[in-house]
Amino acid sequence: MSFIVYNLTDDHAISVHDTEQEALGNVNPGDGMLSVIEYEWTETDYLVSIKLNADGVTLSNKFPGKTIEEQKDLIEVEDLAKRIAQKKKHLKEVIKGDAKEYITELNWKKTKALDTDLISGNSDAMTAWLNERNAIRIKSDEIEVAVDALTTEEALDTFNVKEQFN
Amino acid sequence: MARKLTQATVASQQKTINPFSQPCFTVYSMNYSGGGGYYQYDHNFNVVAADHGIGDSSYGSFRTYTTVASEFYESSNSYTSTVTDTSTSSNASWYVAHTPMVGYLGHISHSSSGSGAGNMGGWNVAGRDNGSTYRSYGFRDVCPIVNETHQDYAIFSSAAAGSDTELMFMSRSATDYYNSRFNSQYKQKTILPRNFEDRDGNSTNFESTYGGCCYNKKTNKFLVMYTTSSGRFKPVVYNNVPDLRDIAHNNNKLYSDSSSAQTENSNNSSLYEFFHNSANVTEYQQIDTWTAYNNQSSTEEARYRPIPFLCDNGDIVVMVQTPSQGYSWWRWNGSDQQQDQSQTVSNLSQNGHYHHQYNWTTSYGYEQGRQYGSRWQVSSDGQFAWAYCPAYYYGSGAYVMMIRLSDAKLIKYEVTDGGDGRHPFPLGKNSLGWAKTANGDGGAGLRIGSIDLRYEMDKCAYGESISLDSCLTESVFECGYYSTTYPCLIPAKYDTSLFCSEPHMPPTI
Repeated sequence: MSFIVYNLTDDHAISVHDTEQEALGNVNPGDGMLSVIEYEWTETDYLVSIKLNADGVTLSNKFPGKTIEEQKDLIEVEDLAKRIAQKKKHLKEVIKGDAKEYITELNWKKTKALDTDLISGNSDAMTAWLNERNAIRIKSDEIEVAVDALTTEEALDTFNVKEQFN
Repeated sequence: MARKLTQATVASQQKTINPFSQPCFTVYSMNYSGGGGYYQYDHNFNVVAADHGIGDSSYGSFRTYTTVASEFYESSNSYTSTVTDTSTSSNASWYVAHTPMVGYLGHISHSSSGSGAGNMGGWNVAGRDNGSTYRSYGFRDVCPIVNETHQDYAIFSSAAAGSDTELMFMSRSATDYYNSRFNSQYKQKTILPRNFEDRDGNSTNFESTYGGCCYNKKTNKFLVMYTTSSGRFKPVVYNNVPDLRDIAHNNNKLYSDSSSAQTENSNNSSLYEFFHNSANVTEYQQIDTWTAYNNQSSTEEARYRPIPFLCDNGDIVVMVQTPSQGYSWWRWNGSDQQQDQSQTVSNLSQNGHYHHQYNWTTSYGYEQGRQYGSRWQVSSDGQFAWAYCPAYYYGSGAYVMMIRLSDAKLIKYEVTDGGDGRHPFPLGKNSLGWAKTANGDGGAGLRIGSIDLRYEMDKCAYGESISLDSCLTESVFECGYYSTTYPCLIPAKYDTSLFCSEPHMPPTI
């Protein structure tokens, strides 16, 4: 029997120990993030594959029957997918933030449009202003779609949001 | 009536600065929608400076806004954000919480504060763009300095493989190193010979290593760790070396003051002559053919980046990261200059070649990027040091070798964490500070603790493991945000001499 130090906050195993005492020696008892959980360790277990079960008190290998090398490969694929998802999430935050800034920067034009329409006796300037503002939203949505279509880390790393708006 | 004279006492030389009130480290975080900032603490864990930013777009101060932290000179905050952990970081390779992002030179992506506390604890150095790329050269190339109470300089070994070893003596600054190495005509440097005896006694041209030297100030000895294409380490120790701190601060110690200095170069200075005088050399035995490169990890890190420590008794210990495997230690005895191939230390894993090794899984060395690989730090009094590397891929977990320089006693810590980095730092006179760059969610902040290395070295058996994670305290060190964030630590570069009995000696410039 082995004892695993487990990060409950982020759901990952940290270290494996032969005794509970040794495992507890690696944990600050006051830190609610960590727990020591008993586990039947086998030679084909890879620490990174060990996950907390739905019962919240037991652990299992999420890739049962796989060799350690196969588990490493599967986790690499998972990590890559997580990184791509994180990068897309971040880029969308950036897109939304930029769109908000561009829209805010148009505020002065609204006053000008209202003045222009008052003098002209129509609503042409305000219509133009509303169209300009809406174009930013449409562009923002288009850029988000473009981000979603990217499939590699490299493409996401080199994606320039500001260039897309321009 | 006899007259009595009152004798005034002579003012003794006293420290006017409490060494413990100097900056020790800064907690940094940036959640681009929530907040973060820089929170600096001294050696007593008292906060001495703070610069808090919130998630809005106001200009004129540090902010953590979505698209850009207003006052950072980079196009996006993505590479300095601390929103994701080290295993799946969306901040690509420059993620600030990776274990090897800190070392003797501070933090790769953030400039440390100096010996005086300012109103901020650090500042970003264009982490997304080129700043970190430049500064990472220094973290790869800086050589251990031990038994030095004035840690205000650095020595760099900037060439590896078939190039001559080139040493540069200069300020303790990754930025200055990059400038001097690539942008200027830097004078305080020299090249070293490479021809020494191999294990069989034959004359051989050895290869150079990045950062693979060690200056022991107390014993006036300088170790150069040579290698071969198969990673067969060969230590060479120079005796009675000149004061290298003096040379780092004064180019006139190395070259003539007159105009003739313009004709001098790194191959004819007084330092060049010293290192090319065989009378100054003690050769140690080359290791056998079972090497970290041949038998553990066929990577550049394993053959060209040993982190060596030269102890007072002449013993030499090397820690080398073995990417894709783990790390290993190598040892030589000062008494006979032979490789220590004993297998009798019960607390260590030994096979008659390495002194210790730990084997788990894939990690990155410098060939995957200069921000990866092993690092080292030294206690303020210079009497203890530690080398460390990440355990998992991009920079999470840690393998740590701690050493007492007086007698080469070793203890260790190995944590196979696939999620969070660890940031060690010198604390007080001889303590090792330890931070875990884990999720600060729920008000945990940055988890930080420390151990007294002088005490632990006395208490522990040789090679024993000591849990550094168990000293961590949560909910004490501010990170500027309550929800998900992975704060990191920026070690400060303070006046280490204030922790020691001798007075501070400013360099004679």
